[in-house]
Amino acid sequence: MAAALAQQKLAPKLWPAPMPCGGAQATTRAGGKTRVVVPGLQQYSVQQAVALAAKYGLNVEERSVRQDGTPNVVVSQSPPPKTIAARGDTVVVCWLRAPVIPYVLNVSFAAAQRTLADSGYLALPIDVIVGKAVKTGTVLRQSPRYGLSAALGSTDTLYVGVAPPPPQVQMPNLRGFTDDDATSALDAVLRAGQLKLPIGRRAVNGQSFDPRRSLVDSQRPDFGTVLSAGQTIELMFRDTTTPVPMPYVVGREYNSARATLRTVFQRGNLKLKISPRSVDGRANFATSIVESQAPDSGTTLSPQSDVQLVVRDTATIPVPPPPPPRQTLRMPRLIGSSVDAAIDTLNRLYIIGGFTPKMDTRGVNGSTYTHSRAIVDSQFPAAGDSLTLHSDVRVIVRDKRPFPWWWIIAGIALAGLGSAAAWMWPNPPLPPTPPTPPATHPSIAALNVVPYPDIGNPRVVLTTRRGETADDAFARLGLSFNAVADPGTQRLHEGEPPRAREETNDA
Amino acid sequence: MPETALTLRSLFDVNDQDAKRVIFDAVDGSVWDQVAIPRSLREAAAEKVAGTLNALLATPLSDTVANAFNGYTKLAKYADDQDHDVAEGDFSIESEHTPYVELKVTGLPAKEIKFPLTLSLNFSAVVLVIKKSHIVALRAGTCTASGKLSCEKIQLYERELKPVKLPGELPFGIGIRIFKMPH
Repeated sequence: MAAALAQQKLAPKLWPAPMPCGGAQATTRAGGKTRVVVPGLQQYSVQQAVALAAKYGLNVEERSVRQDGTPNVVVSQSPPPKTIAARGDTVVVCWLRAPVIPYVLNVSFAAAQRTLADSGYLALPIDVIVGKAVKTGTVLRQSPRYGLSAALGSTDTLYVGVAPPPPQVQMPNLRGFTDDDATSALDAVLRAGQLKLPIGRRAVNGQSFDPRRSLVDSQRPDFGTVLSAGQTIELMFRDTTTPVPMPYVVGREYNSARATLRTVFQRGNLKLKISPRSVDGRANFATSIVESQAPDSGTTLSPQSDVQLVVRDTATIPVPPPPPPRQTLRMPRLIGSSVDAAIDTLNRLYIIGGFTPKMDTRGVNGSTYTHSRAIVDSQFPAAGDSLTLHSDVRVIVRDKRPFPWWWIIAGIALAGLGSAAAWMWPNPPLPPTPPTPPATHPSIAALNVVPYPDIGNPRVVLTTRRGETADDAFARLGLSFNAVADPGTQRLHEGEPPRAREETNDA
Repeated sequence: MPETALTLRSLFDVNDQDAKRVIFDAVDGSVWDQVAIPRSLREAAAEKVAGTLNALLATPLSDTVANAFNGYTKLAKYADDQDHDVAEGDFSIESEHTPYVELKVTGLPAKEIKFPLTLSLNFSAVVLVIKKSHIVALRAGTCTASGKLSCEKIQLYERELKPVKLPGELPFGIGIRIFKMPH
C-alpha cells in the first residue's frame, strides 16, 4: 500500500517565493514519482546548493537579491527544507548579491534612478554638467563610481548633463524682404538660437494681402532686439501693387538723392536704374547736387519708369599753389683759381642756397694736368650766369706755367741789394710785437670744415650726411653738451619775506 | 620716490615742448651765430639741451635750505653737543641759481647756455632739529614757494606763490655745523 502511494504522482503545489528575493511563486512539482525530502540549502553558496540539490535529484532555480550580508550565500529557499518532494522538482533558492553600485552612465536620469533603486540605492542629482545638446538629460557622471561597494540605502550622486545655453540671437532686419526670404532668414536665426517662435503675418492696412506680391514693411520686434522664448514675431506686409510716387530730390546731394530713390524703389518692389547726367560733363557725382529730375515728383513709378537725375558739380576747382619763388644764384668767377678753390667756391653755393652743382674738370683740349698745379682756364656756365638747382658746371683747366728762371735770378739779386742796404743803414730796433692770440678755429683740413671768408667772423659750417642721425652728426662734428648745476646763493630772512621796494612819488 | 628727492625741478613744472621751443630760440641767438648748422641739427641740439633740464635742476631743495642756514650765528648758543629742537618761527629764503649747459663745437670756444633761476621759499612754524652742534633737519608747518626760470633772457616758467608739499622733516644730510661765538 505504501509502495503504491509512493508511486503516485504528487499533486502540483505552489510555494511562496523565497523572501527577500521575491518574484513569482515557486512551482516545485515536476511530475516525478520518486519521493525525496528537500534538503536545507541555506548558508550554502550557490554552487554548493546546486550540487547538493543535484544529489537529491532536484533542480535549483536561482533568485538573488542585493542586500547587506555575506554575499553569494543562499538565505532562503522554497519549498522549505524537509518538505516531501519528487525527483525532478525545482527548489527556488534566494542568494545575496554584493551591494555594488551599478553602472548607470549614458542613460536617462529616470532609468538611472530606477536601476539604482532596484539595486538598493538612492539616486540624487546633485549637479548638472553642460555638455553637448544630444546628451541633455543623460547621466554623464556618477559618484561613487560604479563597481564600488557601498552600503545599501546610501545615495549615488548623479551628474546629469544639460545642453549648453543657446546663443543669443537678434531680430534681423527684414524690411523689404519677400515672405519667402523673410521666412528663410528668420528660420536661420531661430535655429541658431534654438528657438521656436510663432511668426505672424498681416498687411499693414489690416486687409488681406498676397504674400507673393508683398514685401515686409515693418516688423515686431524691431531690428536688433534680442529674441527669447515666449516672444511672438509679427511681420507686416505691404502690397507692392501700391503705387509709389517719385520723390522730390532736386537740390539734394546726388548720393543722398540716390539713397532716397533706392529706398522708394525697394518699397515699391521696383528694380529701376538711376541714370545720372552731369550738366557740364564732369563725372564727379560725389560733390554734385541734383539740378533736375525725371520723372517729376509725385509721378507714379512703374517698372518701366526711366529715372534720370541731372546733376551739377559744385566743388570748387582746387587752385594749384603758386610755385615757390625760384632761387637764383649767379655763377661765380672761377677762372684763374685753383681746382680746390673752385670746388670750395661751389661748395659755398650749396651752403647758401642748397644748390648741388656738379663740377666736371677737364684739361685744355683734352690734355693732362696736375691737380695741385692746375688752374681754371675757362668755365661753363660763364661767370654771372644764373644757376639752377642741379646745374652742371664744367671747367677747363690747365697747368700753371712754370716760374720763369730769370725771375729767380732777379729776386736773388734784389734780396742781396736789400741786405747790403740794411748793413749800411741799420734800422732802429722794432718794438716787441704783441703775442698772437690763439686761433679761434683750426685749420680747414684738420677739421673738415669749410671757412666762410665772405662773412668775416670766425664761422664754422656744419653739414649733415645722408642717412646720418643727429647724434652721429654731433659726434662727428664734435658737438657736446655738458650740464652744470649750480647750488646757488641763498639769503635767509627771519619773519616775513622782504617785500619789493615800492616806488613812491616822493622818491 | 623717496621724500628726500625734492629738488628744484619739482618746483618748476616746465613743459618739455615749451622748453624746447624757448631753448631753440635762445641757442639760435647765442650759439649758432658763429656756426652754420642745418635746422634739423639745431632742433636736435635744442632737444638735447632741454633734456638736460632735469640734471640742471637736480639740486636738492634740502641743500638750498641748508646753504641758507650756513653761518646762521643766532644758533651759536646751541653748540653744546646736546640735542635741541629750536622753534625759530617764520623764515624766508631767497635763492639764486645759474645752472648752465656748456655747448662745445670743435674749433670754437665753449658756449654757455644759462638758465637763471630765482626762488623764494617761505617757511612758517619752523623747528630746527639740532644734534651735537649740527643742524640736522628742519621741520616746518607750511612752506610756500615762488620763482622764475629762464633760458638766457627768455622766461621759461614762472611759479606763482603756492604751497610746497614738504616731507615731515627736511633732512640736511650730515648736518650744518654750529660754531661757538668767540667771547
